[in-house]
Amino acid sequence: MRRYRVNNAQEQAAKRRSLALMFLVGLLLLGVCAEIVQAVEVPLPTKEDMVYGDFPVVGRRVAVWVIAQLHLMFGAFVVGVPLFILIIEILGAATKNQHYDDLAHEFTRLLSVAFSTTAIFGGILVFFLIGLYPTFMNFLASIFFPSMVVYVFLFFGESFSMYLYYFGWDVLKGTSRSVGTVIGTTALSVLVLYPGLLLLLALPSLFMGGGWAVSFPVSFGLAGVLFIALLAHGLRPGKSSFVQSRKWMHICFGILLNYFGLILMMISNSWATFMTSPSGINLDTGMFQGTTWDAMRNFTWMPVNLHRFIANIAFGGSVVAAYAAFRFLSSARNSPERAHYDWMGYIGNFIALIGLIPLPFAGYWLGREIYGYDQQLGITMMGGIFSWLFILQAVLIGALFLGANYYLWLGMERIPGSERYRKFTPVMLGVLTVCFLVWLTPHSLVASLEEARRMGGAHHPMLGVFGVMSAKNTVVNLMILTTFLSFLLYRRGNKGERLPFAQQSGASKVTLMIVAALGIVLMWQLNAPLADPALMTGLLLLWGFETLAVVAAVALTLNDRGTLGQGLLFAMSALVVVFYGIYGYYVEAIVRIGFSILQVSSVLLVLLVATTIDIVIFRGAPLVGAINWGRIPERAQYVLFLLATSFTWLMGLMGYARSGLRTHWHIFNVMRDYSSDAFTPTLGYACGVISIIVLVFMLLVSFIFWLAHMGSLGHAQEEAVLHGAPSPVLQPGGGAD
Amino acid sequence: MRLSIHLKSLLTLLVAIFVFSVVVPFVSAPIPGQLYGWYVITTLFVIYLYVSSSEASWEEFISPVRQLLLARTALMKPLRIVVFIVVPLLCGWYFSTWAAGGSAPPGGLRVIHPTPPSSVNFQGKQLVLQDIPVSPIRKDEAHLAEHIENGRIIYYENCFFCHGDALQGKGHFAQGFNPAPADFQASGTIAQLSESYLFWRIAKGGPGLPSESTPWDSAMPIWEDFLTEEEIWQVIAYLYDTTGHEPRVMDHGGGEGGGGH
Amino acid sequence: MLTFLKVLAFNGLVVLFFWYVGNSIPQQRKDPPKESDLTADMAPESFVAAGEEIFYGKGTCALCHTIGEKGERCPNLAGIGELAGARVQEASYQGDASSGPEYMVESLHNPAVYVVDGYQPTMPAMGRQLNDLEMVAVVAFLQSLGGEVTVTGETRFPKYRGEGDAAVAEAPAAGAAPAAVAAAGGTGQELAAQWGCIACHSLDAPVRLVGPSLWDIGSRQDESFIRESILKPDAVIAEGFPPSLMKLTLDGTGFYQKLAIQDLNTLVDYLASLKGGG
Repeated sequence: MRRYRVNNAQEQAAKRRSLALMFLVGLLLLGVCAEIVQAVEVPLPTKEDMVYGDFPVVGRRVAVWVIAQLHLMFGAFVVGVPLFILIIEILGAATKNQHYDDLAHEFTRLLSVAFSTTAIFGGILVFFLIGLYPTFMNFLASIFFPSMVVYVFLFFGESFSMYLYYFGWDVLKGTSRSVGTVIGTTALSVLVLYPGLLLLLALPSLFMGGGWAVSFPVSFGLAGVLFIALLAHGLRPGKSSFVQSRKWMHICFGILLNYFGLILMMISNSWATFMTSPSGINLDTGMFQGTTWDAMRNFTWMPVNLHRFIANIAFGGSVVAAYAAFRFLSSARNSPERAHYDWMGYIGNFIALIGLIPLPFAGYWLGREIYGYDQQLGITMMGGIFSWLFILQAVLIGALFLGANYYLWLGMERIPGSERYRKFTPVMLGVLTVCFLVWLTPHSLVASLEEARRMGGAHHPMLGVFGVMSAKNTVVNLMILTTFLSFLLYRRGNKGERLPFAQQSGASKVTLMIVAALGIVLMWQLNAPLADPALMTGLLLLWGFETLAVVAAVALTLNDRGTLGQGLLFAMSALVVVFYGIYGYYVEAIVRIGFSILQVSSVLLVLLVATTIDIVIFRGAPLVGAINWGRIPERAQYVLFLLATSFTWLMGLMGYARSGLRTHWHIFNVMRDYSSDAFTPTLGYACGVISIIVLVFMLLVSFIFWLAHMGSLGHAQEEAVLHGAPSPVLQPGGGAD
Repeated sequence: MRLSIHLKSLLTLLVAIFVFSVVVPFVSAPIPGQLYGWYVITTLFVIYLYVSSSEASWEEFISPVRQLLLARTALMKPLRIVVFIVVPLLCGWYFSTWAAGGSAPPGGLRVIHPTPPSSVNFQGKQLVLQDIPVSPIRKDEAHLAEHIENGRIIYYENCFFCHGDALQGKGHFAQGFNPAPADFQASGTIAQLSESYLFWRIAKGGPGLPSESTPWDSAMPIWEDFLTEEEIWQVIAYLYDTTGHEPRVMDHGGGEGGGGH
Repeated sequence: MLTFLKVLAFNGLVVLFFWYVGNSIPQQRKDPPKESDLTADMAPESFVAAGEEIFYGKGTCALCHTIGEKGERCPNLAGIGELAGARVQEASYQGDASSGPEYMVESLHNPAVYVVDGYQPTMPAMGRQLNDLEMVAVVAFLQSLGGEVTVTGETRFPKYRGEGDAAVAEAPAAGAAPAAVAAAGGTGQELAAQWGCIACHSLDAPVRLVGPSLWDIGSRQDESFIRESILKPDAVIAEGFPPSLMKLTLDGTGFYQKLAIQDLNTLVDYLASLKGGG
């Protein structure tokens, strides 16, 4: 133990030095921010100016494509994983459950090795871009240079917080009353709270005017005040405070890591979205006129940020689950490792599911914005050359939904008492299948002349109906509801007879009421933009219906009929979804788009209220038996691989869609691609490239995880030698979820 | 009576195939081969998921197979040999017929709403479609009724023969064409499109379709050879007026500014 | 290691499946649209060069027109730069062009207005195939043949090509009665001459012109083949002849839009009756 204390002091000193460094970097950043708001004028290069480099064998486009996609995949992992590591860590700290803390630590080990790989691919990508597309990169750099400088410094910050987070894990535990800790934690807390503070200050300026010019200075002042207040709070003699908690300090590093990752992603997204939906370009003068900020704040930036953010979480979860699946398969039967990795795989899959459920909605918003930006882009995507890509996407998403449900059903094997819910499996599978078949049916069918004649035209009179947006929205909502139902059944698998609701604590009753009310308000908020006079009656009826269902569900819960209440909610939502799906065929396109929001909001309402009811009614219910982690058929682990591979492949496909959408433009409708690679390749060719990228990614990830595993083995052996104890046995995760 | 899992799976498969190949064609029209294949494969996959979704049912499902492959009984041994001969032969037969193909041409990929060009050369005049969010004759509100009336006449002189009286694509000649003339009443055609898109399709006709819409032998003539710019706008106004659809108007975010949406 | 290989094989199969689905549908590659490099502020020499490219390239003018020697099917264009200005002054000229460049544009849009003595009116209307700048380029090239280039990137020909309201007034005249594509009547021989078939195909001798001779087509092919060859020229290409040329030319003349079905039948019957010999 002595060794640790020495380390402790050294690390404390190192931390203080790094904090000072970060402060300096912060100052520098402010200077660069000033640079960002400086307007520039950059002329567009003409055809004669365009210079391209050559790449042997595969050509310049495929070279950049492969490297960029690999960079993106590793980047997504590195940005997505910290978020749920943090949540798991906080969960562990809040429930004082060491298993969660260990799990988060294990995830971090995977993260740190993947981090440097991301950086390597980023470097290769920059070199490739400069070498192969010099003129174009030069143009982009003249617009985005300030943001690139910010990017580099943020990257610095990201690596710092990342390594502090990872290497500080064992050290930053318990509380310390030393002045250094208090100052450090206070500073970190202020940094972590600052964005919230700024946001809070921005709200009044929305109503009273003044804008950022006022918010910024005021926020600096307030941050100073906060700093002093927290410091005083922490230094009060004899009182314990959260700023003395070193675990909190560690969590702060985690939050900072997420901040940095998120901003990094948003900055690089702005470069990519500028190519799809440029802003600030004056075609008459052939110039970019404006500030870097103008260029960053382009039409599709925010939708892409949101879409990628959610997808990163899902992707990270699925890759982690695949890692756990691999470890599961390679550990001995009935061993504690097997139990641990089963649990880890379950958590990874759970995270992936949480990401997967809102992903279609974010994607839908992005698609709508692309359509809104430019009709040509929208039609190329949905009706033109890329329309078949979305059928392929449907196959992938169908595989994801079916796989995720199947994993949950197989997972019931390890839960004593879950046999009671087996009977629902065929029904849910049936619903999913029908939805998947509809989801898969394309609008334009591949049909030979003979078949087309027999159909009486290019459209199938019956299946053609399934090809349009109304049907797709309906089935995706139903699939989400079914997946959610699977999860609820899984969750209650080993719960015995529920306690009478009267015995539940007052707090849980109040929570239920508040959540139900919140759900109703939230739904109204989501639907309110559609409230134009023509639709008002229908909307009011819908609101009445949904509110009634929620109230009835809550009333049933109070009368010990909680599961019936949940059933009622599901039925309500399914009814709303199907009703608006069918009604959508009889209204104008513009109204139909609004209907999808009604469908989504009813599903969200159910997700929110039914989850709360579930938590409340099953509180304190006796267990039929503990979950037998590790007792799951091996094919379940293969499902986790299927999910990870499908996610990775889907990411590659969507990367191709985002980039290929511009067809023969570098910057859509502004700067043409004059290289020999200007054509849009066939879908089959793109699938080949994507497949190769996915295989390379999987091999690299395997290697990286193998390294991480080897490192942990080495560490465990070292510990064992130091303490003269047998090498530590990994604990299986507890059943408390 | 409890059905064995094999019987259940088989029944599910048969019912699905019955629906795909008998019910759907009987109710409306046959499903094209490729989609039919996808449906059947999905059904098979789902049946696999069903039988293997719990250890018990998987054991029940797989045990006869295991018996067949491993059991050393008097019945299983010859059966095993028969299966080992017959199954590869069946596979071979299936794939050879599949690879030999038929005399029918392969299916074509049709893109229903191809991407419009950013500008068209209309009778020697360059029109930038992006700059025409709504039909120019709509600006002349006083005479809109007149324009629509004119459009009606033009429609009956030119378009009626194929697109029909009810604008449903069921004119006198419609049966002879592949692809069939567009149904303007449907929610999937002009209701989804902007007026400038219609202008492009009318002015350039079938031959003006971009490559991704081929193979396409659309019989739609190049109407710029017969109609003036104004007449095309009039007939477009007539189409929207009669069907009751609203043309799609693009909120164009390009140019300067953008964002903030 | 075995586990790793198993997992790798499984993932490989999954990837292969997605790859297969992506390749199981008909494939389509999208090429960038051909972009004309013309800009309004180019020098006259550049226009001349561009016009020459069109003349020998996508315009397919050089198939019939010659420069410097007597044309078999269409007039020699050497010296047209000077000649055009003089032609509009001729008494026999009935068109409404008032200058050399206008005459050239008129002849491209409406070739039948003035047909040089000794030639058939076989030329298709090519005007609409060219955009404004391409038209300028072609005129500049023609002017450079024995004349002085006077057109610039700013020059437009509203009289023939329309601009704003002018187009509305002008266009229907060229289009004739829209829906009622009435049969023109006449014998097959007349139709073959009227639609310019004889410009490229010899009907009375085994002579190879731009297209193959058809003098014995009736003995070589049946009616349905002839009909298909007219309606879809690229379905079967006679050996040694370029594809898509006939389609392009007939598109330019408006053949597919304007030919009545009765006339097509007459034409097919006539061609099927050509058995060589006599």
